[in-house]
Amino acid sequence: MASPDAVVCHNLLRVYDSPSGRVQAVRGLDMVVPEGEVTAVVGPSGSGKSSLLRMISGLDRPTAGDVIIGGVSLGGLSERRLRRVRHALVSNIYQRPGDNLLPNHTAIEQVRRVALRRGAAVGQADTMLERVGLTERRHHRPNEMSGGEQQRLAFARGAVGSPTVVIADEPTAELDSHSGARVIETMRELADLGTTIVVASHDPAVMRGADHIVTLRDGALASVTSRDEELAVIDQSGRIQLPPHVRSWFPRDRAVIRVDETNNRIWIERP
Amino acid sequence: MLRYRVTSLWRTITEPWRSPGLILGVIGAFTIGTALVTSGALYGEAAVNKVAAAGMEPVSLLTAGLDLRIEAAVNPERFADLDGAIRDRIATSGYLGDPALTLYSSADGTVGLVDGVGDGRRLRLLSRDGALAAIDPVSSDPSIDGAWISESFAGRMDTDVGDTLVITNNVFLVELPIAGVYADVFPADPSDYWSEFPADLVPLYFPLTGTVNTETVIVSREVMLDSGAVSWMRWQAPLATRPDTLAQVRAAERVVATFDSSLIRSEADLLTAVTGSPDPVMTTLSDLPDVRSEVDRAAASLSEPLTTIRWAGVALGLAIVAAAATFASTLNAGIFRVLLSDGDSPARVGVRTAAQLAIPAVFGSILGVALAFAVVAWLGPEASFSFGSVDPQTVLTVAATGLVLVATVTSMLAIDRAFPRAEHPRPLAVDLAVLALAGAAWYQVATSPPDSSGRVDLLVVMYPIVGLAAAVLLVMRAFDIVARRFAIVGRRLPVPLFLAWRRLTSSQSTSRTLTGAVALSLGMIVFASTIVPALEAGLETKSAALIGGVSSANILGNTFPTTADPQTTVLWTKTARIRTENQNVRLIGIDEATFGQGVSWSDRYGLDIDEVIERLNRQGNGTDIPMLAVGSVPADGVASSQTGSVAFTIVGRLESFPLVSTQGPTLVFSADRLRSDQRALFEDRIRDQNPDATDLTPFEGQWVDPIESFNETVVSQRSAAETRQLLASWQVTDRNLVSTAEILESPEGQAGILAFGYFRILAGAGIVAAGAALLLSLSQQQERRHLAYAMSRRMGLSQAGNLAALGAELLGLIGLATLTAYFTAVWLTRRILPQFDPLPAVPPDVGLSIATWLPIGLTAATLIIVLAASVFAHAGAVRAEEGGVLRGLA
Repeated sequence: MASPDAVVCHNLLRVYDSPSGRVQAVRGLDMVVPEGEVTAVVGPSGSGKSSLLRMISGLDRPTAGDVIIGGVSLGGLSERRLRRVRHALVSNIYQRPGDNLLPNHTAIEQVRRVALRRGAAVGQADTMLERVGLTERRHHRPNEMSGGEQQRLAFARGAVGSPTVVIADEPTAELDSHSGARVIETMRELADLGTTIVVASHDPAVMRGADHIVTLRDGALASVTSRDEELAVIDQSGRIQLPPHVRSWFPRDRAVIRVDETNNRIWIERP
Repeated sequence: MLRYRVTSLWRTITEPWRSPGLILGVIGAFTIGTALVTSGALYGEAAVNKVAAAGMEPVSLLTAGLDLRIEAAVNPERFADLDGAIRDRIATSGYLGDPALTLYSSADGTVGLVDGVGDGRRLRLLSRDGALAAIDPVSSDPSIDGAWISESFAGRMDTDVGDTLVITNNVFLVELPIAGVYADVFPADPSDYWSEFPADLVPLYFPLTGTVNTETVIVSREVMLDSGAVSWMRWQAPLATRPDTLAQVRAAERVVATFDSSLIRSEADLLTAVTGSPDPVMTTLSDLPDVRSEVDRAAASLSEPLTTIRWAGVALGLAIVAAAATFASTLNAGIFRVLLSDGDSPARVGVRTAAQLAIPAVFGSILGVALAFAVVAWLGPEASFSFGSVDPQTVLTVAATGLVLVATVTSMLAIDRAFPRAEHPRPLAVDLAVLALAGAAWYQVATSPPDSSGRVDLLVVMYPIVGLAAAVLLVMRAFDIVARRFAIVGRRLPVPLFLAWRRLTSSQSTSRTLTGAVALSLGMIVFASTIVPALEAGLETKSAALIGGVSSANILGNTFPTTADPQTTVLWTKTARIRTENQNVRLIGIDEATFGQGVSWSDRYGLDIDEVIERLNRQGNGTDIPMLAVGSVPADGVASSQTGSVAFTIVGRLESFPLVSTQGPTLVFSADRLRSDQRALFEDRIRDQNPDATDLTPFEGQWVDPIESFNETVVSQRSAAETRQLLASWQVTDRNLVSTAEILESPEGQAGILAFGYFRILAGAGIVAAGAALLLSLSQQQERRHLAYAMSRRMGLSQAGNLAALGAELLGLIGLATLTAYFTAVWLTRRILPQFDPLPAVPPDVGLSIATWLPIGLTAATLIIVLAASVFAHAGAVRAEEGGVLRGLA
């Protein structure tokens, strides 16, 4: 049975005004993030990953479209309500380990702080530290921990209090491969325990650890791949976007389509 | 749970202390901010005290002290009690020295000898503390306790020591043996004793008439009291010390002004017992109330400009605190990201930051007060001031306002710093607001006439600040446009210059803003260092024109010999009327022989002295006297007065002239030339009337020296004290003795100088803050610089080439700031200087001195510091593994 959706994006559009003119960072994007699974958002630099994540986090508002988190539509929310959503439903983890933690607080204080704010039991903080393997580092401050430990602590901090979604932007980019693997392992364990995670990354190891991979290209959805299959995207106008590597099969940008309504199948062939 | 919350609070409060740079920056910002706010109060107090001290300087301690007069007969038995009570009150006043007591009769007594011979002249009987010991005895008999009479009086009465005088009026009759004869007191008597004597009671002897103004018989206090002739009691107490602050002047004045009323209140019974009257006539005389009024007026005139500049200091102080908050926000961007992502509001982030910085803020504020004290002592007016003028509440308010500002700025910046976006250009509205203000100040400076009262207009004071700000903004905006348009040019430049150009044109807006702040501060320093000496030089030149020399005095009665002193001359002045123009004109005659050595001549008057004398001796038009014109004198004409008329030919025009205090028309002539021409005319007339006369001596009685009817002014290069001595030695009575020093120190003269002097402090603080901020900003850009350095190394640029590029970049930024600041400040100075033209109409750009060394020195110092900091940064980059740098920043 398919998981219910933690995050739903409807026709998201984000346009920035820049000194060189208007830039469409995200163009008409539709996406769903199933609950309790890891969804990786991938794509080259400038493809709109960070913009998408900021809109899902409630840190930025879309120019058009809507984001629904845990059944709450962010579109019409006031700043105050939006902060409440960030506070209760969303956690963010950034690329630099130091950017995710308060520098003067110990590991347990970092997690407790968030747990209390989310109304969770204080004991959850200890449980969460145990889950990410940092029980012995509970009284250490961030500068006394390695980058990998800091990122795991950030995941513990993010997952405590059962938010609807934890959003991580390149969480392994500044880590060595061993530390990165530990972080991915942690991410996986948390997902298995029911935490929904959206992670933007270039790291193949992260992609391998994800349940779904959403590929962006030029601000639009290029493909959605699950562990066992690659899905092409049908947009709201009924257009299908081919995976990039098969585009070359159709050098003249023309295709023959055959529809088998009996078996619910469509064939696309070179003319 | 409580323990966790307390620990968490402690961790939050102590969080910034992990960053020494941040803590030092905040302490520094609050130190400078508070110093700017409090230095205004201290500077204001010092300025006012300087004016107060200057106002008190020429005042005699004696005449500024207490002169208490009680007009009443005296009960000799109770007098000692009253004298004791008054002396006690004087001693406990804290401001007055030991009083001298004078008892005297009214001046309507007459005197005769016991044999009935008298001259019927009026006489006064007088006793004064120390008089008998201080007067200059001609003859005396120590065994007699009786009357001392003047030498001229003794000669006139043909009497001597041992004879008996009978002195009487309608109240008393007393017979006194003559105990001694004292030397007459001449008007120019240099004796200290007579100079401390009540001026209206000094028995001055005039040798020309052989008379004394009031004949005075001096007796001991006991004799005076026993005589029953006392009608006046007078206690004269000098000021114990010269007050040198406004508070002291006011307090001393209050003591003096209320002395009689408080005496009546507390010693009413004693007064009645001594004088026999419950309400005796009592007066208090002192110069102090007038001095205090003058000082108060001066303080009030300083109040407006100083208040304006103090507000500028407050604004600058808060701007520095706001800059510190911006710096803190940049440093804390990571923490803000965590907090905002967790759902904290920007306001909550701001309050959190303010709470964290409260301790360094308070510490910085306390340091700021100490710094203000040191800076005003170093750069402020040479006058006393105290911590008393710094209101602790003000310091707390500054700290609290600063923290609110920190909270506000942090709230506003939190999101931008946590989640940086593309930079927005500075809103045009900011530039337009500053330009509008500068335009208003420009209009005010252009249209308001110079104010002779020394008041400094609000907009005029603001003009340099807003003018500089407007110029800096315009240059920065122009640079932005140029940078945008020409960022990609210069590929043919040598690589270091090309790199420098690219970095300059792509510099962060923070760097440019800070460069603008450096320019503004630098400009203020140049402005203050230019206008203050210019005002001083201008005032000196103008006061020299007003006085004529270093000192001058009108003299009365007898003529001062022009050859009396090698540094002194005489000018003759008179007002006449030009017949044809129906216009008043001032005539000034010079003494050719001594004119050059006595006056302070300025080439700005228009001619040199030799040419003046040469022109005044040119051949006139017929019998006309050659004269030089100052101001709007029409062509040749006839100047007339009650005593005669003189036809003149104008032989040149001058911008100003000694003793010319206004732009009113003045004619200058040679007294010798006028006298000789008139003499020649006189002799021709006598010869015409008496063709047979070979000797003109019998006709000399008809000769009237044309200069006789003129007022005589002695002008000297000597100080006022020396001139006074010189006049006294020639037994010449002076009137209105003035000196340039008095004008230079006058409140009117000092108002602009003191007001703009404070700019130095503001500018100094501004450049320190801007320089520190620039350094911090560069250190914050260190990572970017590491990247740029690593990239340029990969491009094959050597270390020397890199440093050359860096030097060129910094020179570009600092050079732009310096050029903008320097030329704008000098231009502003030239424009604003004519506003301060309280004295004669000398051309306004007198003595404009531009402190060229200052901007060059400051620029060099700033450049060295910044360059050194960057070299260290680059050294760090060299040590760092380039790949690591590139990987970390890619």
